Amino acid sequence: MKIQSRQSLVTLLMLIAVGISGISCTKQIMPQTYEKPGPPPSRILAERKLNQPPPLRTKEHVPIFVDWAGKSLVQERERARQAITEAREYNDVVSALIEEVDRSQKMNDYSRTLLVLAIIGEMKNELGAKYLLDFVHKPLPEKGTIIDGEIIERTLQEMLQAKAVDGLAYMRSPEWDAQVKRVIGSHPSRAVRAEAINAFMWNHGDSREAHRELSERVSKEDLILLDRVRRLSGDSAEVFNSKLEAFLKMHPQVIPPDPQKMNRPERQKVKKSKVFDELRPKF
Amino acid sequence: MNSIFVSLAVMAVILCAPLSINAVCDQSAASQADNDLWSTHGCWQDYFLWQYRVYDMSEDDWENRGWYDACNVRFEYPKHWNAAFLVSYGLLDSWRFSFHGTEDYESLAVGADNNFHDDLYHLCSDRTDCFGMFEWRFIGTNRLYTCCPVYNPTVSNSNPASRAGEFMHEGWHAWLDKYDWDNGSYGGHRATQGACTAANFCDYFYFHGIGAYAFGALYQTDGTANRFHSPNQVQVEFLCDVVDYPQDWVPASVRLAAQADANTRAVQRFINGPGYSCGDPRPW
Repeated sequence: MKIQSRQSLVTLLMLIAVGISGISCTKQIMPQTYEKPGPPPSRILAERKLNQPPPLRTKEHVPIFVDWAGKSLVQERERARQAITEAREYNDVVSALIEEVDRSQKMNDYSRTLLVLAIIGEMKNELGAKYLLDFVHKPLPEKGTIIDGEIIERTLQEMLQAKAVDGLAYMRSPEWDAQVKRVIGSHPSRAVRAEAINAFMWNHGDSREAHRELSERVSKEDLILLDRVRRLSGDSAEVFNSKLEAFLKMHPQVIPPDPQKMNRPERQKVKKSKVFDELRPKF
Repeated sequence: MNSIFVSLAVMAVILCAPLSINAVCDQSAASQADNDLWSTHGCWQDYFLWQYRVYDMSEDDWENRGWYDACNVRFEYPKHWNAAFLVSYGLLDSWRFSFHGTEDYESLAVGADNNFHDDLYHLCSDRTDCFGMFEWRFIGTNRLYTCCPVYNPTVSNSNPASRAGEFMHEGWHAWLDKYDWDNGSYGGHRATQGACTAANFCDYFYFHGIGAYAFGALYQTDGTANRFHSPNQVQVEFLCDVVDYPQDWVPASVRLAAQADANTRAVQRFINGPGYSCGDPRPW
């Protein structure tokens, strides 16, 4: 090819530059770290000492215990419950847990707040329950950041209040049941009412009496929540499927309409498919 | 000749700049749930060196989001692969108990074309009004964005389970696209109606029993409500499987966050809701 002019040369060089920069911009660079490669998780977990919670007897113990509780594994659940129950009589510990809720909220660590509310609820302590009751009735934000159609500050508060109401229902006494029923009847959040109903029913063994008692209190739109399908750890297919079948028989209106196809011209598939068949590393 | 080199330099900068100059999400901290899951692997390099390829991620998009500091869980990229780690290894996969298996959830999330979707490319968006987005592209690979609220520690969804749940949700939009299903005209969702309270982010819940889908068959449908899923439903079922049938090493803080997300979403986002309630309501 013969280059006719300086302008043509500039154009050619620019095209080359586009090609080169294109290649350099899309070059695959792997992620990097300053740390040395470590062992696989199976070795890390094998070295972990299980079922050895730190003490929970003084307020100073609280942050360390919460750290441990957050990390605790499925197989440590019962040991954690035992450790929490043993601390029930220490009001200093309960007070420190309450402070921990406030502190984690100020630090905006939602998952820690959830964790501490769960611990307070599990304790079945009167002081803790009073705090949970106040927490459940904190006003919900009416304005805030809209994310995917919801006010996220409100949703966050609803999730936390739902966890708090679990603790109230777990007190399993007429006095606290009355408070749970108040939440069921009048709380402004349907998610919190739904959890209150779920917790009340579960703590009463899903009895007919509990169902009848609540059905007189809830609004018409919430009646379905009394029969909601609960999937529990340990539910086999047979158990879960029979619950679902009964629910659908009682509430056939929840069966949705058939899905519809898009009304659009068929798309030509012009994209080249990627292939990746490398197995993930061994755990 | 100098002007030629200047032109070339300017050209190269312009071409590369939009790909490498990004704003970033809140990189000040990670949630306790992120940190707790992190402690189970201690930053497993073999995994993230596999993960970035299988999720089709690129330095161009994640450069100042922890690509060069992949063991620092304050950044978006480490948080992304922490969630992917939960998907890859965190489920028990019991056909008698789980809604779906790792094979389903991981296929939904990864980049390569499969039964669930055409090719996907994972990016992070600085938008603060979404958890995630699916974008169909006429030319080039379809995109799956995760937005700042699943990385910003101040937001409830900034935990590994909810972030992974977002992979499922957006991955299911890719499924709807692949098979030409219409899930509504509000960005792939339906208007607020029935029991749904989220503003125009509503779906139907297509109830099904356990064992209705063999592992790997989540993508299947018979074209009726008997055998179909919506994005929020797939997300809830994934979160439920994390809550009820995780591997025994999945930390409590991760399971609690998954349960709160699943149960709230199941009440708020379904026209014919509520969806299933996950786990028992005992506080701990």
